[in-house]
This record gives sequence, C-alpha cells and structure tokens, in this order.
Amino acid sequence: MGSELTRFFAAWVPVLRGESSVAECRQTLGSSRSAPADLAFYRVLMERNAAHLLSALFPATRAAVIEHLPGCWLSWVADYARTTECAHWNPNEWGRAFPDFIAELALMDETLPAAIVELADYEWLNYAIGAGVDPERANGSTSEPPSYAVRQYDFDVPRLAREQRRGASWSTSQPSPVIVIVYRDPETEHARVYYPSRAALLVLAERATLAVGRFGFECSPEELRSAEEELSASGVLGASRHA
Amino acid sequence: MDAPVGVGIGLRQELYESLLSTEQALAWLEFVPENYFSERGFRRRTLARCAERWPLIPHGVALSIGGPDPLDQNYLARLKALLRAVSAPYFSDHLCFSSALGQAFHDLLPLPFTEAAAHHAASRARAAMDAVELPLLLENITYYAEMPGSQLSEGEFISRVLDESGAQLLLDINNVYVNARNHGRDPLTSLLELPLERTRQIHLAGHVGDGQRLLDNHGTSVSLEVWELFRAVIHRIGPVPTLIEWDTDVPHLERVLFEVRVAEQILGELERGWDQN
Repeated sequence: MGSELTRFFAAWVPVLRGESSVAECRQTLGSSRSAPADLAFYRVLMERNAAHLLSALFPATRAAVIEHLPGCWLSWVADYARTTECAHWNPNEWGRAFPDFIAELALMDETLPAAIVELADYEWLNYAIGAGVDPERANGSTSEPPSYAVRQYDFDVPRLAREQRRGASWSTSQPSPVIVIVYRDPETEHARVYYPSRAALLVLAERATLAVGRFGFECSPEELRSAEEELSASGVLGASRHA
Repeated sequence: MDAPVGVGIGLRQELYESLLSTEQALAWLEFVPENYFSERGFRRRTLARCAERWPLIPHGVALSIGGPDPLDQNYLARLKALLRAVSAPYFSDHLCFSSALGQAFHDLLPLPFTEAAAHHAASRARAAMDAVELPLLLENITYYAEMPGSQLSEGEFISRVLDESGAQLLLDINNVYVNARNHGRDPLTSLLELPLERTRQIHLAGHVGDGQRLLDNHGTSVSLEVWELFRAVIHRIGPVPTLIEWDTDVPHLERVLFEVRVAEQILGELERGWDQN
C-alpha cells in the first residue's frame, strides 16, 4: 500500500472513530467533491450501526433500559462505542463486552437495577449458545463451542426477557433467584432454557467432573436417575459440552 | 456447482421458518457467510436444510478488500471451508473497506477513487481469490460522500479494479440509483459508465429518504426507477442471476416473493425478446 493510501486511512479513520473532525481530515487530504456534511454523515452511520447492532443482540435489555432508565440507552451505546473497539469480522462479537460494560456502570450507580445487568448477561449467553459460539471467548478457533452454560441469577431473567420482548412491563425490585441452564437443543440447535432441580445440578456437575461435595447437598440415587432422565428428555444432556 | 439461474432472495433469520415450509418456486438463496461460520447452532442447521433445496450463493461483508490491514487469513480459511461445504460456484463481497487500523467498522465504507486505491484493492482481490480458490464478484457500494483525493469516476475506479484483478461485477442497481440521486447525476448515465459486461450477478433492493439524501437501507420494495434501470441492464447484457435484497424490516415471505415475481417477469419479457433477436 502506497503512501497516498496510507495518508488517506490515517486521516479518515479517526473521523469514523469520532476522534477527529472532517475539517481536520480535509486539511490533511484536501477537499472532496462532496460537501463536508456528507463526509460527516459517516459518523451518523457509525452511531446508527452501533445502536442497531446492540439493539438486535440485546432487545430485552434495551426495552428494560428504555422503560426503567429513560434516556440512558443511546448514551450507553455511544459510551460503549467510544470505549470498545472490535477487531473481529463478526459484528456480533462487538457485543461480547456489553454485559460487562453494564455491570461496571452498576458498580458506580446503585440505582441501576441489578436485573438489567443480569438481563444483558443472559441475552449474550442466549445468543452465543444458539449461534454456536463460545460465550466466554471470542470465536477465533474451530474447536467445538460449548453447548450449554449454567448461571445463577438473582432475577428470573429468562422470564423477564420473554415478557419484555412481548412488551409487558415488569418491576425491577423483586428478586426471584434462579439457577438456569441455557443450552443448545440438539434437535433444533436453538438456544433453550432449563430450570434444573438440585438433583439435575448434581448430575451435570458429575458430568463436568466437578466435585459434587462442594454443593453441600446430596440426592438419592433414585432422584439422580430421575433427574438424568429428565435432562435427557429435555435435550440438555444431548448438548455435550459445558461452557 | 454452476452459477445460479433466475431470481433469488436473501436467507434472513426472519424468513427461516417460512422458507423451510414454503412450496413456492424460488431459484436460489444468497447468504452472508459471516453468520454461518460456526458449525453448530440453529443458523448453520438452517443453512444445511436450505442447501438441500436451493443453490446457496455467499455474499460477504467483512473481506475489506480495499482496507489497509492484512487480509485475515483465518477468515479466508473459514470462508473457503464454508463455501466448499455448500458447493458455492463463486463468492462476492463489496468494493470498499470495512475494517482499518485494527478496528472493524461493520459498515461498507468507500475508498478514494484513485489509481493507488484501485491497484491496492485489485491486488488484495487476487490474493483473496487465490486463498478461497473461487471466482470473486465485487459489488459497487453506496457512497454518501466521495472521499477526499478522488480523481477517477466511480465507473473508472471499478473498471480499474476488475481489469487488474480478474474479479467480476456484482451490480447493485439500487446503489447505482441512490448514488446518482445523492450526487446529482442521471441514474442511467451513471449505470452505463459501469463495466456492465462484467456483471455476473445483480442485486435489487429498496431505499428510503433520509433528510435530503436517499439511504440504501434494503428495507422496502424495489422502486419503479430501479426496476427501469434493471430493464435497461438486462436489455444490454442479457439475463443474469438476480437477487431481491431485503435485509431490514423484512416482511413476510409472500411479500418478498412478490418482488421475485416482478423480476422474473422482466427477465422473461427480455429473454423472449433476446431469443427473438
């Protein structure tokens, strides 16, 4: 790549990032046959793309923020876009850090409903499991992605996500602790949610070679057998690899 | 697999269920390969089911053929593997950059219309074709501003890239129309300045008004003006695989197929006239 093109990218890319102005770019590269406003429109497109991407990945989170924290969604998107670059060719990978971004906001703002933090985590997990990407690591390899993940939430966020997508309102102040398994259905490959019993958790823990003693409870062999049958029937045990 | 014939539509998640259950005639499907690289997940499963019924043609968005960063070899390897799995006859992407200086912008950004940029893009296009081992089609994008330093016309720039690389043209007629309107030019004149003889596939899509400019949003029906430009192109170059590109605010399948039927009718009229001539 020659020096002329190198100069172009060096001057124009900061404009796209919002780090430089069109005027500064034109000073470096010379004028364009297009008006400055048309060049500046690309910043508008970048912002719209960012909002569209996050809205598509986190629809219930977006709806919850709009309902409970009016005015915050677009500023969160702008702040996230300003502080979070993505080098991955898959645009959805840009959303990977968004749940952590919201969690950090919550650390600084006690009024930010904890349910929204968990909702974002769940929506990312739901996307990743359903898309066949590793929810914990960027999808840069060809190794088998995990097909289920276990989460403990203070709020029943899968239910909240369903209700939010249906347009129903919900209160953010009532915890309802749950343990959920988000898994990829072996038949349809869609992400599904399963609420495991204690016995089911022990069955999965044994399969993941976790020390079951750490859970502090036991179940009878009959309970474990019954749980295993239920896990198989639901498709959770057809999902083979744990996140 | 040979190049498809007839009119296809984009494989969009909103249409998965209706596509898999439709009995309506449809010639082929175009898919965005970046959405299907993982071999697990419902998307890949749907792709496999679609492959049983229709030819699948890939149309990527992340090649960044004109960009400054090295071509992503991991991306190219995964693209090659996926395209082999679906027996794609060629692949396509856009004559633009979509990532630069380590950052992916996830948009199709215009290059300056210069000899240097054309030479750079052509070199990378050859490298991409070598890596994927398939012919490459490059699409003319919408550009809302001409980049500083541009010296060539859009048609000259595209011709330079295709001549030097051996890639062919994916002609997006809606983009031609949107660009012409936004930059104060006659759409037909703009169309005829492109290397139409290198067209191997056509995109037809919708646009919307956005203030004083038109926005290529792929979220509405094809406009009458774009249908007329389509007629003009087909009259000049003959039938070419044509795609109805509806990516946002995707309606039910019947509505998208209505656009397919309009395109088929135009192709049919002109095919009959072409045969007679």
